[in-house]
Amino acid sequence: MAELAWGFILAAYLFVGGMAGGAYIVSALADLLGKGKFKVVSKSGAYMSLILIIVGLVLLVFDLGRFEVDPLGVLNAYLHFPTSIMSLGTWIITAFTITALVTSVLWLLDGLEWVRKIVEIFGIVLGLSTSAYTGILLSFARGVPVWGSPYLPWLFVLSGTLTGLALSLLMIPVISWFMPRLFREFRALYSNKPDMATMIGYLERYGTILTVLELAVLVIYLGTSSMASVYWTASAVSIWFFAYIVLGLLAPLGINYYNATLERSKSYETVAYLAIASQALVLFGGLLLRYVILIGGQLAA
Amino acid sequence: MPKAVLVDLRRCIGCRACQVACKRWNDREATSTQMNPDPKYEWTNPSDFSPDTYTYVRFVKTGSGENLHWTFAKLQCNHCIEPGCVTACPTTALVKTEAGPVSYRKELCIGCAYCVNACPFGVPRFDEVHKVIEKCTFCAERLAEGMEPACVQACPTDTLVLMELEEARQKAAEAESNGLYTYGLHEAGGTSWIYISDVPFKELGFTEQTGATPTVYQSDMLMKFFGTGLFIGGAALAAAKFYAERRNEVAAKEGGE
Repeated sequence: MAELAWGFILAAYLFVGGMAGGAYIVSALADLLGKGKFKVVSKSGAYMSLILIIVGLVLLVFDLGRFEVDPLGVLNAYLHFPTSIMSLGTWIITAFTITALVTSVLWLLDGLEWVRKIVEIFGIVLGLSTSAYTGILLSFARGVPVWGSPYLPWLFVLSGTLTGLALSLLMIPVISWFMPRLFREFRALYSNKPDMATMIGYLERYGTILTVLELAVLVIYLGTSSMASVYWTASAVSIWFFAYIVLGLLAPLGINYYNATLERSKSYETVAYLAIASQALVLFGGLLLRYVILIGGQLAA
Repeated sequence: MPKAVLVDLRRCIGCRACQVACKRWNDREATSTQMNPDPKYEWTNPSDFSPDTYTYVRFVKTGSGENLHWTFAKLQCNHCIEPGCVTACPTTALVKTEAGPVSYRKELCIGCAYCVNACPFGVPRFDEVHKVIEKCTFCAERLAEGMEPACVQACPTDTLVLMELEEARQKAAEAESNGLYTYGLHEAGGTSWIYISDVPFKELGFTEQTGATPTVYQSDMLMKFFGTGLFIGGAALAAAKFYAERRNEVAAKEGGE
């Protein structure tokens, strides 16, 4: 057994990169289709997608570990005609970073709505590509047979969108707690209980749809991959595999279901705190998914 | 004309002269090694590739007692005709040369290690110290001077024979039609190092590979990816529609009450 070529930092990058793409998709769809209802969520998603993709790129360069030796060497990935999915991915992520930056600036200015909406249409395609790319990269790696599945990239897209949605929602209270003056709208929404309760209701409903889809694609992926049993048999990842399913998928589903049965305006505190816990679990699950797939797959190679 | 090496495992006596010749020609450090923990391969040493081990001989026991049969299988980069590592490499540090070798230009490498996971044969190894990869070079610099690779020259039994790729493929195809087993004639679209054996390669621990080249494998994967996308997208739309209708129903009910 050779040492693992890709370790935890790369799993974190796959998680963060997928979430960046997903947060953008959520933000743009909420803006384009939400008829103004989801403005704060759109802003939250747009800012987070920019921050996340930059965090992802930093993780990536850090993981290469060559910065001291050859600080600009990483730019080699731009210089050659992209026959490799990885160089194509480099260009996609670069274009996505620029789009996320432009979108965030437009949201900060809060004007030029038509420009923003055009940018968002391109951004959705780029966000989807960024999110899918992390999975396609793995599915092309023939040395790791269990990754060779067309369902894996979709699993990552669904998880990316779900975690992007969770983070966008989670950032509303977080930003209102820590930067209430800088982002007044966040604070205004968070302190308006009926509005916030409605918002949580909407987002939890979309979260439930995404979680059910993710669970379905996960089952199909595991069912169609001949070596998938490594995920629940290899001692290094099996516990995290079950934690992902129970804590990252089933628990949020349960919380969403329970929350939907509560009278939102009356038990607002419960709804809000349960929603926060549920989003945090979703994020944890997203990271576990990347870790289990990345490490488990290499163990089975 | 691309060169190839025909590896006839029926001739190998397990002397490991190739291992030593490779170390010397390529200036690879001798490292402390261990016998293979798997009883089937226990005399294999070193038991895997490493940044300092471009080639090694796998000692394989098949059968037992009276029927114990030894096979010695020299392993190294197979120098695919269309290499997965070259397709994966984002900086063209890995290139397939016309002479046959898959060459590695270290100065272009960014240490992403994608080739390590992309190689169907598990050959490239990541050098954790220098953050680059290492693998067999097919002694490209020797080939260019009309010499044989170091391991081929060292082989005392002509297990390893350098020849034209076409000739090697012909001989392997002949062997196959005579009931022998081959590896590298079809695997991953064909390789420049082609094996002949009287023992099935599965029993020698060689991974099973389809005949798809990386281009075919990847375009097939992409087609399926987009196909499943339509399916998942359809399911998502159906779910959204169901939710919307259900909400309207509930709203209508509540409104009516």
